[in-house]
Amino acid sequence: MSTGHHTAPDAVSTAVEVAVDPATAFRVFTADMGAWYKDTPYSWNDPDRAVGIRIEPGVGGRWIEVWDAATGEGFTMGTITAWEAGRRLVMTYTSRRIPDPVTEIEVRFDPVPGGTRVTLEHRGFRNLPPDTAAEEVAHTRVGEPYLLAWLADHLGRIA
Amino acid sequence: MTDLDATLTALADPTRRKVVDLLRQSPRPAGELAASVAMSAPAMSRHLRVLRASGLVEAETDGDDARLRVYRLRREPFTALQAWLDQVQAFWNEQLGAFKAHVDAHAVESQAAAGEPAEPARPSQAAAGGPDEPAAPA
Repeated sequence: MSTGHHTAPDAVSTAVEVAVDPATAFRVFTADMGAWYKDTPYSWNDPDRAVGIRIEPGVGGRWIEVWDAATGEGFTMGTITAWEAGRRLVMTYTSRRIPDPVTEIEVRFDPVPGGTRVTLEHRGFRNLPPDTAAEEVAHTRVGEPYLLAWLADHLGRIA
Repeated sequence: MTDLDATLTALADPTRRKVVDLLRQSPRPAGELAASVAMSAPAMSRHLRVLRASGLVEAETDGDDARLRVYRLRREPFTALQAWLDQVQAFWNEQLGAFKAHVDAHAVESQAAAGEPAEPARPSQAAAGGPDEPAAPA
């Protein structure tokens, strides 16, 4: 999947295989998200307020960056648009800088020998208004200093 | 990712990283870059060729004297949407890696507890949760 600079790609996709059946993988992915979702510099809309993350099961449920542990409320990262337990999950994606849900995330749980292949696709980037895309790039600091730091980190890790 | 590969290759060399650092401050002639890192003009020329091929830098003019040719950073590789998407991809790689580590660590109890609702947890627990080294970015 080599993509040139001329056509803006619409999606990113990544996958892992886990040694549990699709129903279990789906359940752990959704119900245990607060336990496995990794705390990284890019995990939160508001790193100072985020205390967790959770998914409300079922179509129409919310995907929430929890700011208040007592109520479980916080920033709504998206809404579930497809909930096929053990098979497929689709949810819209918003952030503080991309308030309109123009991108979405689909997670598929496909049975493979010995377990489940979990494929996550984040797509719809072509729907981003050019200004929003440029702003997002700027805000995620894929500018020179940031990218260089990221690359240095990356190079250090694979070295 | 072809472009990212070229970028990573170009930046894998400490001299070239130093050149990029210098060019972040301002455009500079090749001769000055060579002098700044105490390197011969032909050796610097080879590094600049790699950096140009990767698209990280460009020559402002094509004068006859290569040492006077002024180099500067190109912004495109740094600000392209692709670069952001590479980061988005690396982010999800890391998260799915953490998910896999979680499943691996809890496989037995997860199977046993199938059907029961799990309790929500906090990110600090995930961070302290053991073998959740990220998967290598693509």
